Amino acid sequence: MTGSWTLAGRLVRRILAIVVTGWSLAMALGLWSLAHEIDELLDQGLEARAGYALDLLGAGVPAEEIPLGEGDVLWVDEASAPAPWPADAAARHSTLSWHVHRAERDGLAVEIGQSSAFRREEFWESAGAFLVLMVPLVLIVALTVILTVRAALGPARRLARSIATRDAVDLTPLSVEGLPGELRPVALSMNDYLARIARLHMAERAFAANAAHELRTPLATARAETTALRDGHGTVAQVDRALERLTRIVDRLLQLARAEAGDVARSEPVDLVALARHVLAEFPTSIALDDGDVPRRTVRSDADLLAILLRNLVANALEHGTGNVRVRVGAAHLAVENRAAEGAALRSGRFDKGHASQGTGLGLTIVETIATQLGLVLDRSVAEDRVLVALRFPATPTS
Amino acid sequence: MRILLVEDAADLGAAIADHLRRAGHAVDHVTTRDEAEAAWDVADYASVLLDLGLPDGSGLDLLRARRRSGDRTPVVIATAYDQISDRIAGLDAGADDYVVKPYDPDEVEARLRAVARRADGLAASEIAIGPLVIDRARARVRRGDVEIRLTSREWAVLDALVSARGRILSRTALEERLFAFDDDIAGNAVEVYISRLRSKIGRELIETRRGLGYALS
Repeated sequence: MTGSWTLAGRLVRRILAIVVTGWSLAMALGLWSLAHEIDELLDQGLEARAGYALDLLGAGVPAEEIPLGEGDVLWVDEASAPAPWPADAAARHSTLSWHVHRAERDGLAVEIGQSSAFRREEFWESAGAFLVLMVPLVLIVALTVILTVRAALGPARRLARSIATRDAVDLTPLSVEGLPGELRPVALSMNDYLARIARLHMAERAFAANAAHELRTPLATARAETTALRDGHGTVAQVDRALERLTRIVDRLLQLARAEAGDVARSEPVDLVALARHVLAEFPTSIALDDGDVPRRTVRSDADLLAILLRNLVANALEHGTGNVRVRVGAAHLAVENRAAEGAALRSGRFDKGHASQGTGLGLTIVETIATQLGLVLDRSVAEDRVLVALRFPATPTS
Repeated sequence: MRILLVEDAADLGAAIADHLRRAGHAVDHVTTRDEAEAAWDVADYASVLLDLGLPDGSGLDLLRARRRSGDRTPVVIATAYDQISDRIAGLDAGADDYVVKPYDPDEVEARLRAVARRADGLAASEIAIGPLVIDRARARVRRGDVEIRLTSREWAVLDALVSARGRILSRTALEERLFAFDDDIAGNAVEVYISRLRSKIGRELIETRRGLGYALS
């Protein structure tokens, strides 16, 4: 259906259609009954007047002086002129144009006929009054239907108005007070959506604020260091350190943005051993790789996303750990293990990091986001001074 | 002047502290709210440079608490929160000024001096004392058209005496304004700086009150 339509309009139209159809059927039945009753009444009159005319003729009253009803035509069989209706010896007979009653006694017969046109006129006079009375009744019914439907749909109209007129940034819940049972689930669902949007909005604001904080602070450091250089103090190495930190944060933010962009992850054969070797070669520190002494461990996944994920896990282990980092590649899993200070915790909240941490607070968020996208199971455990993060692949290796 | 620097980012804090020290200020650099409260309680700071996102609490809450307790130390908020609403919230909490990272260290130093000046009731940047014209905004002193070159410590002593507006400043009070907690202070450091200052601006301009301290004549 194109164009706009209203529930109230549709309801009014349908109820009125039902009422008018019912009323028309009742009317047709009533008119048919009325016509039947009028015929019966007029036939009885004809019968009575025919008998009366026969009595008067028997008493010697001339045919011309016999009183007749409105529209009656009298025929006496002594008359030479034929009747305007076809001859019929039956006591009562009707044609298309005439309704006739015949009375006979002692060889004398009379017939009184009444034209169908006269009867139709009589019928429509009665029906007209009937119709004139019914039309205002139908109008009153229509008006009542319209008002009732409008009143019944008032809560729906008020709910629609409250949604339409609310400010675009207004995320407060809709009031469900006074709403009928049919509309309450709509408002409650809408409130659920509003609450989710509000939560996302808050998270987005927090992310923007935290990202701004994380980016602006090393920028401020770099600026302070360049000012010191300008004044003949400080070293280029200090500026480099600030820029390096800034680069790391920008990299992590871009990784997170890519991971969250919703791009479809590829599904291709990935050799975990080769991938781990490539990623670990990027780090200046030597990192132990336990590949189970097999040349290949192939899984179906996305090599680029897996590389980002592993890079973050290793960087986290190096930044926050206290000992050697070990990467293990198994049949359908990849794990990063390192020693950490007692009481170490794996913080997965965005920008959640420990005091004095030089990390970005985004590493595990990136790991979780990519793991979800690749359908990997992420196991994390911190036991005494050992931190282990393992990724399990859903499919068994193809070779 | 003595400045409390509250900044949890170690690199940035160290860089700004160095910059402020080179400008002649005594700087106490702390990285948490607890440390800030402890330092603020015991030292008389000319101004505070306050970061808002501290690891153990909000800098804004710390500021509100200080203002509620009647503390009027000038505070400049230095933060990465750059929205107008953040700025309004900061100023409403009692900050005297607000700078957004990445800021220019020179500008921050100037703002710290400006809020300290306003707190002294000396909003004008140039003050004439005897034959001297002291430009507190630019940290310059001249006699007539001749500029007198002062070291940052000498300037800090002069600035402290100017901000006292004729009141006597004890040696301890001057030490507190000139040196941070971690500074090594020689026993006669204040006397040395006063002596150097007198030789540059004129002996008669700084009066010594025996047993009490020093004041500008």
